[in-house]
Amino acid sequence: MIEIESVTKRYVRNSPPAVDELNLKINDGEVLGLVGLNGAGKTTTIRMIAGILLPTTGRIKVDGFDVVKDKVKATHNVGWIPELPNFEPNAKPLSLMKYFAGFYEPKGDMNKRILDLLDSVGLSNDLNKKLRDYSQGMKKRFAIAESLISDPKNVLFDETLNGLDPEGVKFVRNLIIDLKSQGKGIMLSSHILSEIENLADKVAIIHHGKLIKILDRSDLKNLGRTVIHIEIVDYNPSESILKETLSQFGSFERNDGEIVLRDLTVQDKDIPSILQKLVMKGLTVRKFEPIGESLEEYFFKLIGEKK
Amino acid sequence: MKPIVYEIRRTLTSKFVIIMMIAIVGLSALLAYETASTSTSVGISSQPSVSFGYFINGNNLTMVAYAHDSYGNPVSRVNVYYQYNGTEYIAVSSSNGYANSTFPVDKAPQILIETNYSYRQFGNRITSPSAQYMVNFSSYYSGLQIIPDIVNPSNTSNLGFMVMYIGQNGTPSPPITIIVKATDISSKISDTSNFTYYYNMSSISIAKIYPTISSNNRNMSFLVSAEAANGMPLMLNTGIGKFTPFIDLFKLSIYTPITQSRLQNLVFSGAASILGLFIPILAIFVGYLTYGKDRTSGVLESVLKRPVTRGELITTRFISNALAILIAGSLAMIITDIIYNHYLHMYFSLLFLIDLIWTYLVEGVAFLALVYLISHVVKSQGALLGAAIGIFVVMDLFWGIIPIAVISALGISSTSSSYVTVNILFDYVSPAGYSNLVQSLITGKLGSFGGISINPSTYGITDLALAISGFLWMMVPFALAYILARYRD
Repeated sequence: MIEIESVTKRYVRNSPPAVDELNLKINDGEVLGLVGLNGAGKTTTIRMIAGILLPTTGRIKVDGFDVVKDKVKATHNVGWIPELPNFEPNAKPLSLMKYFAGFYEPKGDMNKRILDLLDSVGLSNDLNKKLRDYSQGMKKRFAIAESLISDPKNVLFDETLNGLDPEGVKFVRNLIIDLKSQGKGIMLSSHILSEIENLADKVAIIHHGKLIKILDRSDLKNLGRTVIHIEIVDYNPSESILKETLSQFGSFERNDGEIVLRDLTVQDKDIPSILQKLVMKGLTVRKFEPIGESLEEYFFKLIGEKK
Repeated sequence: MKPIVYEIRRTLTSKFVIIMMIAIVGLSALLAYETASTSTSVGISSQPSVSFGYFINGNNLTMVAYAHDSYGNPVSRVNVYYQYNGTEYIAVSSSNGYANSTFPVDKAPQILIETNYSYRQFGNRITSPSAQYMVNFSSYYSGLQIIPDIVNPSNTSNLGFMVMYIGQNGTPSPPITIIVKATDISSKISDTSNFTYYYNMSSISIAKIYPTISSNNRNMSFLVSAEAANGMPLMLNTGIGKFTPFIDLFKLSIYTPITQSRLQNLVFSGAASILGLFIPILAIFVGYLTYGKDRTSGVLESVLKRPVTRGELITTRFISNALAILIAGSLAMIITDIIYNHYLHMYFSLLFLIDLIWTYLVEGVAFLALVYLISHVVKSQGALLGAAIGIFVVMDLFWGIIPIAVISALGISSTSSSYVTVNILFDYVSPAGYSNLVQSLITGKLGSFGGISINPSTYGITDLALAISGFLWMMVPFALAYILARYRD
């Protein structure tokens, strides 16, 4: 379990905070998606939990241990996979894994565990290479293996899906599901919002270091509400005609020649009546596409509002 | 694997550390060899000599050559050439110094063997001039020979010689007594009442004798003779086909005893200068490569995320780096000591050896700690590397020149007390000056400009001051780095 209590992080005194009074909680067996634009404070938050950065104010506790005051106990149960893993370039994977393993109390046959982990991430054929000869994707796979060396109770994935091939993405997705099923607390930061939408139990949206919204599973389900994307041929209908035609079915907006109708007042089975109404108004409809609203759409809508 | 073990192994097996250790130990050893083996201050030749003898068996003559240094110790790998009747025979001395060669000879009252020898020094092959050895067929073996001018390594005598015995078929000596009598040079009358020395020996091939002579008889010469066990006099082979009852020896007037003080001066003028340059290079760049670079590039984060505190992490790396410096300095000093002892037959005193190792540990660890401190001040790898190079250039490489410039700019006379004060002040300001301070304390001379005699305590150079200064240089920059590591990202 990870508890973030009123955490603020300023890199430079008197400058705007990278993380501002953030409060979050990740329970055991829960996946928290962390969503935000570049510079929103996602990575800073994760690095503070991992013990790399010191919070300016506030407190972070991992399984009840403060990451600053009780770092050894707190970080014992945190696995962190950074966005751009960076390792001692001249080290070989096995010796480095053994070095890392030395920081933890031995649990069973550590050598076997190391080999199993490297095998599970698909690196068993590259053990004789030095890490400087690994590609970024291989480094990320190695980072996954070394982060799980102590079988931590909490795992932080920071943009882990970036730079992975489709097989790697699938592996990480399954890994997260597996870790969750083992009762581990997981924080997942990613730009691929569809992945977060599928995997997360909760999604925290942060912007300029502040927590804007936390969506739980039911909120995420509601994100699936239907939105209709409409394109009209050779005609640029006036606002009044559109209002007259579409306002009774929900709220609409124009977006690059496309009309987006959301917050529908009719049930899905009655959606064809909207198309019928448009046609009856003499409009030639080129595209009429009812789709569920994604987290991405919701996110940008929310961020847009905040702007 | 315990993290500290990995850190130490990583530091000690990195290419840079290995190369630097080889450079430090190798160059120190080379300088020690150069100063010890060619040192004129002790008046001992570094070149090997060869003493000859023989025995005859039937028609075969075996020429016995003993290659030795000025102390009479065996020297290996000396090529000895014998020419007889236009044929050259070659033998190479083994670890016991012998280079024997057996070849057929004509029966004649006397035969002449041309001999010379060659050896390598600093990569050059040096060949001795030819000499003639006369074999007298009246004796089937060379018997007893006295080889003069053998230096006493323990410095208790100004007189030394070597006894070489080759018996029938090369056998060692029977029981014999060597007698050394002091004689008045002008009258050649031996003064047996006061200055006669007897040495009983048996089964010897080579023996070294150092009679203890008092200051009263140092102006005398010494007659060496020998007796068999039954009291009958033995003849001494002269090597020119003749035998004589006495050999005349003179005291070793060129011999200057080696002392700890002379040894220390040799170290300060030799190996110390190499360590003063290379130990800081090792320290600065090992600190950069194993800590600073890892910190600024983000590699250290892969360790910091483990259950380890920031303080433990920096301390562990610092200790492993300091260990590399300690090993390099200690190895260099111990090998230097062994080389000096090989040539000068005197080891450093334990205190001096500890002083030297401590000195270079302080210098190295201080520079290492400075790099650790800068690693927590600058943010980029390039800035850190630039700062590390800057520290080396200013605080080590040119630190000897900066005081000269300041003294010159201030118009301070080199004979004034201020001159000494400014120099010592600069020695306290940079870790590179620490070895100068230690040198001043030990030798009583201004370290960096040796020659000016000073009373060290007058200028604040005392054991206590240097101990405190050393600890401060090692601990203060590291303590600051430690605090920054703990409380800053």
